[in-house]
Amino acid sequence: MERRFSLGITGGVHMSLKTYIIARILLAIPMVLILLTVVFVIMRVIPGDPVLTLLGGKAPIEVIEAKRHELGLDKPIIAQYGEYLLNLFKGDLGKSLLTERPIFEELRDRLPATVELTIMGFLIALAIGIFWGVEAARRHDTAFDLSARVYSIFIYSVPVFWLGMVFQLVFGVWLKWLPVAGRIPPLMEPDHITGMYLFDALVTANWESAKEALKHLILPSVTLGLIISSVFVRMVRGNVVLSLSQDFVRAARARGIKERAVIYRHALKNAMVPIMTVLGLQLALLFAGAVLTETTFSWPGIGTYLIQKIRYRDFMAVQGAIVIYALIVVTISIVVDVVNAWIDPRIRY
Amino acid sequence: MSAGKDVVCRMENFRVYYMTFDGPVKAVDGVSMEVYKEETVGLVGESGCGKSTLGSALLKILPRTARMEGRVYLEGEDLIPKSEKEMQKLRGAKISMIFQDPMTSLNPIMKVKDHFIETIKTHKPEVSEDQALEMASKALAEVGISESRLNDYPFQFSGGMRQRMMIALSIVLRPTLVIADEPTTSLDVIVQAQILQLMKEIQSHIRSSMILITHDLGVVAEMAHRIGVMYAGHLVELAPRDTIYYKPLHPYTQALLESVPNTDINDMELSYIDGYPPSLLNIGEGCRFVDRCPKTMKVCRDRTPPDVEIKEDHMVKCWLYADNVGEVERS
Amino acid sequence: MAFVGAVILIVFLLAALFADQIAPYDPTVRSGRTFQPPSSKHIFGTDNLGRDMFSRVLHGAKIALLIAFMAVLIAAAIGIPLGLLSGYIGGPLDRILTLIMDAVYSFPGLILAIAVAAVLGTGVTNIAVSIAVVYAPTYFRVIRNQVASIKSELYVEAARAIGARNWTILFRYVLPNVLPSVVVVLSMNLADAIMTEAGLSFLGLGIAPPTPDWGYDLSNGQRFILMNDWWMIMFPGLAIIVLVLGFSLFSEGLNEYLNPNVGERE
Repeated sequence: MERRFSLGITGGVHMSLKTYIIARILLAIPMVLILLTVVFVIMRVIPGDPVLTLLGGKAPIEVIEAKRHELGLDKPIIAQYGEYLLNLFKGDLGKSLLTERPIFEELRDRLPATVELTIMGFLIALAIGIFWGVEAARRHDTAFDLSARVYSIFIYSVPVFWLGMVFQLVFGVWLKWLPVAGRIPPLMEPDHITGMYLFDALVTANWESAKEALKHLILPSVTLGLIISSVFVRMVRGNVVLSLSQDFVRAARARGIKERAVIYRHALKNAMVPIMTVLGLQLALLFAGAVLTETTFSWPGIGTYLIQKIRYRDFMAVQGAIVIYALIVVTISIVVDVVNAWIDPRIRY
Repeated sequence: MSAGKDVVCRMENFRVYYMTFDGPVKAVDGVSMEVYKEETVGLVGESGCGKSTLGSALLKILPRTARMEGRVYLEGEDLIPKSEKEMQKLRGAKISMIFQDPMTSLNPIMKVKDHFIETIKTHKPEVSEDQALEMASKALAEVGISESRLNDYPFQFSGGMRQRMMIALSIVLRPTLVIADEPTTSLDVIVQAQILQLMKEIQSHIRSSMILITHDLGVVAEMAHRIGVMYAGHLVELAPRDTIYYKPLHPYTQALLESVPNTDINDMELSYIDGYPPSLLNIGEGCRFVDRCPKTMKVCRDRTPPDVEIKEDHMVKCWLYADNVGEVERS
Repeated sequence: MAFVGAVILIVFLLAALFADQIAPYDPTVRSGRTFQPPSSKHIFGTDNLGRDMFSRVLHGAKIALLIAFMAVLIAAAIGIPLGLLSGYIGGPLDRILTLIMDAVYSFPGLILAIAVAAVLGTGVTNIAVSIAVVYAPTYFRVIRNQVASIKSELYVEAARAIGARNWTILFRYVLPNVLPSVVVVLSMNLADAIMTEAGLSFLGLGIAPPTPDWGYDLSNGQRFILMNDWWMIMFPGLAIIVLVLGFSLFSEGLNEYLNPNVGERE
């Protein structure tokens, strides 16, 4: 389990949390560059002529050439690469070939939906993971413990989109309790603050809207959360078992610390340290799952945007969406590392 | 048995068995002894003799597979029937433990001051955070650590300092009995001496009793008023320190002292005790030293020797000193 | 555990190999009335075009296993040699390659596969490549780390001392010691590859109809969910679950067997 950007370069210099954050962000820059380059390579360099696919093979040569020129595709690759990076730096993701709107705007409109779904899914997965994982670790080697392990292997094998459909069938079609698609019925959106309907509705005390938003949010986030929880249960359980066998846990008990505090403040908190180092990777799973979940529930987020644009051969928009994902991934990994440093002071020294 | 001295801890036929699928492992099998006020009792023996198990058992922090029987009185109250909740109230406050490895016995991601505040507030919730900090500073001062270190983390301390912090943590609430389980084993020799000296001072300063568990006869010579020798789950001899060193009665104790290397030029041979301790799984009656003892009798194999009181303060668990052994049984 | 996994895998492998013989109907043409729930004639029911679901599920195993194996093989073919090279040679090449592989590794797999599939298009090979891109870094990492640590072991030094050339050292000494860890990874990858392939097809980026594909069938099933077509959803889904479970159990069991741990891992 290696830490990619180990801050061992500081060589034992004491760092405050602020300094660590800055150092971590600086280290992320090469990572961002690499990801952006990989995206560029995939989109432009891999065989397949985007203009042809866009206009169809039967368009006259002049139209194709004109379009190519317009998109700057007739310049040498290096120049294109440079332009690409420069534009990104300015925040310009280009215009959608289809709608002619700036891609940045289109993505910005869709981002809150994805964020809302992903956060809810994450929280649900975390809650399940912690409660079940800790309890299983406490009852190590009992039937309960076994059930946790069985659960995580089994759920990991379930496709998230299938689970979503099962929920739609049961709760939407058979029981008719919950809606199966969309975020909210039209005209019921709350005032825009963050774009996350549930949050905005609650903050503006718009209870009707909140209720509708919640009804639409439940199935997708539970679907996503359940699937991801398989990984969390396993991680928490394994690491808490290790943690509980450590000497300092025994020493804490010997001082009369209450069992609850021993489990959560000592064992779990220490277990979070190794968990955090791999959390970044699990969050990548979360985003992948989110794309499938969004598609299943017609949730208007970046995932559905990506798939739609692929269908319409709008390669600029596709590129833009992938870039956004890359940026989100890097941001998340920075955040995870910072939280890790906050929990475990040894990293900063 | 000394009359007139207050007894802090009394064990009567104390047994600790680890229950396994193959049967019980009798780690501590019938130990009876007393610890008086303000004294240090050294508990020595080789690895696996049960001394560490006994120490942990007094705090009842053994794994779930351990069963305890007999009676253990701490200031008059029997600990054996106490529930976990009741034990929690006692641990750290009335009876505490100093662990062997200070590197791993402290929570690496918790500040020094939080270790103290947590312990203090668990037992005295009425104390404010500032008051708890004061108590922590005082405790640290008692072990020679400056209060500026309160905001540090354990990994910033050296091994010796960490052990001192452990000691401070174990005495901050002024317990009546402190169990020190191999407190200097993972420290280098010079630091060892410092820590032992510190422990002696602290003990007399806060007037608590101590059970010092170690395999090192040298350590115990410094610290203990009385010494108990354990072998294979039995307490085979218990006597004042000088008696143990100069007039040991039990063959095991004698052999143990023989095997301590000395720097006498004329005595260059290393002597040792041949053989190994017996397995404690399902072990039955009979003296457990019988296979390695130079003075065995027929009765030694058949029946477990009783605790024989030689004089006040000197107990030997050996048939050689028992009155009621008939001629036939002496081979 | 490995045993149960192996049993499942063998069943599916046989189903895939002998799909043509076992399947009662041609999975690509209509063989009954549309939207029929399971019956004695069509034990898994029929889909919206009247095709037999059971036959489709059986043939779907073929495609799933084919693509998964191809993808994993391509990934290994890319990742292992690069890992060997990088770990053995070290230096700036190693640092750069590792950085690139780490970046790709940390990116959400499915999204990467989507990007590549979007550019390459459909077709068994293209899909296999799209998925392979996601897993190549895994092999790279595992091999590279092992090689880097073995590099300084004595027997490699000894080989060098007797004048063995680098290539020889790499293949005769390093590789055999590094392969066992690959086997476990392989099995887990196959499980993931099946999932990813199903995901791609579900999103419409995978195998084109009328080839039977579980992911495609599931997306098809969703179109008519309001008509309560539960059998169109259940059976392909269960097929995916059981096959992936098979690979997972197998790799878990294998892992425990090859690397027995006292206590817990992770």
